[in-house]
Amino acid sequence: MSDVQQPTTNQEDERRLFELLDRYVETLHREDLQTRRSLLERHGDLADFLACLDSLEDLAPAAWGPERAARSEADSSSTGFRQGDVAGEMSSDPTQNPQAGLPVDFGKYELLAEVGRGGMGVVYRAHQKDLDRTVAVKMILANWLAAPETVQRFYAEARAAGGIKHPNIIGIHEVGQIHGQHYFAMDYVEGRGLGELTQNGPLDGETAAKLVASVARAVQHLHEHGIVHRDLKPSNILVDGEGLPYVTDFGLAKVFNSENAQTRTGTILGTPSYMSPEQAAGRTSEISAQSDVYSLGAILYELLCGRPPFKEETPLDTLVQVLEGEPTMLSRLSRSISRDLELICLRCLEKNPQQRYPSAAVLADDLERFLKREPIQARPSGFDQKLHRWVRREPALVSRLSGFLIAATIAQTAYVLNPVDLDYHVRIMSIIGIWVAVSFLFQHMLHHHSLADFARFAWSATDAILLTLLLAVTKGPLGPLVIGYPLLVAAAGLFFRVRLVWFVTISCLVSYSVLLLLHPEEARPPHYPVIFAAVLAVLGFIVAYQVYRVRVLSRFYNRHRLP
Amino acid sequence: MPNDENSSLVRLLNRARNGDTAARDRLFERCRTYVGVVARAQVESWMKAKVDASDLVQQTMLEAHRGFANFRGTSEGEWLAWLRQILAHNAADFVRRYRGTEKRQVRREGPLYVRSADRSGEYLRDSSDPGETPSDLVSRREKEIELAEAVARLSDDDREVILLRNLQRLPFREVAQRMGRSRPAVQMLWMRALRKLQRMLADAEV
Repeated sequence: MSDVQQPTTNQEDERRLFELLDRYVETLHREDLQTRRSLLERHGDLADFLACLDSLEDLAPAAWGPERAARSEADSSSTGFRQGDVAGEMSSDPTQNPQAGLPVDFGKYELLAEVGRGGMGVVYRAHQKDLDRTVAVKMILANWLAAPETVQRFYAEARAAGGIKHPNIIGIHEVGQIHGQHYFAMDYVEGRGLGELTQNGPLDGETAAKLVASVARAVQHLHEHGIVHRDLKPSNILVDGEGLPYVTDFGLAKVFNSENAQTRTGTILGTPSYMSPEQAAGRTSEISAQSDVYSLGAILYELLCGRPPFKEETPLDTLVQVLEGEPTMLSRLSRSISRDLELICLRCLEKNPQQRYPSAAVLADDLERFLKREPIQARPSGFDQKLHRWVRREPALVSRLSGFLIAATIAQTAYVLNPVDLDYHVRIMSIIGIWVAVSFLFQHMLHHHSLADFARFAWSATDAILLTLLLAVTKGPLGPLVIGYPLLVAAAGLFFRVRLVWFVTISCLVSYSVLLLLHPEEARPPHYPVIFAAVLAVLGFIVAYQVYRVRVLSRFYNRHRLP
Repeated sequence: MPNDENSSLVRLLNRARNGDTAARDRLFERCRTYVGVVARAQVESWMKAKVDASDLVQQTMLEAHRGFANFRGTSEGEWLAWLRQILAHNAADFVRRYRGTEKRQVRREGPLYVRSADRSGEYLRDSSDPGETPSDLVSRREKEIELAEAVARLSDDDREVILLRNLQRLPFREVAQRMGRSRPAVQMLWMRALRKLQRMLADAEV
């Protein structure tokens, strides 16, 4: 690279130079080597420029796509990562181990292949040389163990876990550190994650019950040794070729989920789908064996219907559901699911830990009763519990119905006390009746995923229209009755959608204008409606802004979550 | 000058290997820019969106730091290739995490072979020319750290256009769209950025 290309002042030259360079870049991207060579030969004067483009191309990642990505991996694996394999000895043999860099010596282990990767580390299949056996070695990513106290707790926890022996638990052999790399060695199980089992559709009731019963027994064993798993989820349960489950990664969640670690790394939050409400709410002091019972229920639920009880688009929505919602009834998702298993799931998924199974063993007993076709212990819930669940499951409908009930009661009382105009009373009551019927219809639509978004908007618009209709037929001054509009706006915020809030606000403003056209006498003094409309708009803005703020938090949470 | 730079990196490498922690820290510090530029290009071309790659860089540096004992190469080129490999692993993870559902398979399938390349001229590569040795591959890498540093030193707009056009291989139409400018404007910007880059590299070499 001797002389710098003089910038040409002539526009035509500049254009030609650009075209040449651009063409050259294109040939690089296409890997059109012939054209590239001829360009190089013809434009020796631009060698510096072209060399610069070449280098940039080398800096670029392999283009998207398996072939090229694989090629780049081969490219880079040929240069040093392989243990004891210096560049000169590399071959371009296409049958090379794709797990570049392996095998690698690691203390008394030889790492053979990467078998899994989670948030907190990478798991390798390894050969333990002194005992000549196959083990799994999990490397803890350094950023998880940045603070000395975390390291200490990790060791304490791993040692406690080291004492556990159970046929359905992956035992920990050793915990240690080699070259500053913290790791632990454990049983190696040739198998796959429980989550993969449901990829081809849900399991039948018996298989699911058997699996979860074994897992529950294993978890009970942990509890008896004073360890709460805290992070039971399908990916932490391995299933071997014979369909036997193995619980892994227990107790460590405690080390890594401490508040301290959360604020430091911000990446610890997993999916809350399998988390008990007390864990999801961060009430760490309330976490107990029952929290694991909850997670077992969530796993059973997923095995039976293919999806966890709560899984919304964003972790925030999921979290809200875990804390406040009720799972869709299993019998609603599939008719083939046994009613008994549904009851068992619901008992595990109770929000209040006291109402769940008292221990994992009791859960296992009940599942085994189901398998033996004996009557199970979990009882269908009583009326008040059912009502409670329904209220939680259908908050939009229930809040409206209670509003209607209050309004209808008042109207009825007023009529009873002063029965002058039956016709008028019937009109009022039938509008409320229509409103109730429409609400049930929209509630039904909310449950169909494809209609849900439409239902939310249509329901809100219908609310505004029916409210206006109701006010329009009302005799006498409306007075405080227009409070219905601000109520609708505030309620729209409960869906956590900014657009919906604006939509409702505008619907209400439009409806209010229509109402004033129908009842011109309400527009006196003339500045009152203006004030009311302005306040309505401001209220809409405030609610929308609050929803927006919650959304921002949700996005933040989403970005820092792990798969 | 460049030879000095090169050998200094190799010197750092050797001293770090012999347990000199200060040298090790300097070595990693020297490579951070390089990893940063490659990381951004890599994840952004996969994600097709502007992303914050600093986590990825951090993670890669940490893993390299930790796995340093496993690195056996001796040249700068091998060293950078090693870093890139760790980066590629992490980038795939990062992309998958962002997309949520993507499986880990993508990079693991398909035949593997070393990209044919040769150096019969300056940076010449041609699949029809056999006789290339892996060390040739390696020495091509040695320009990269200087180049990455030069790219990082460019002004924001200049760097952006190089990243989008050369490292992410976007057509100018799209580059213009991403940068919110007209196509002729980004083309001129590109030419200017290339000239600056090339000058920086030439200066480094003198």
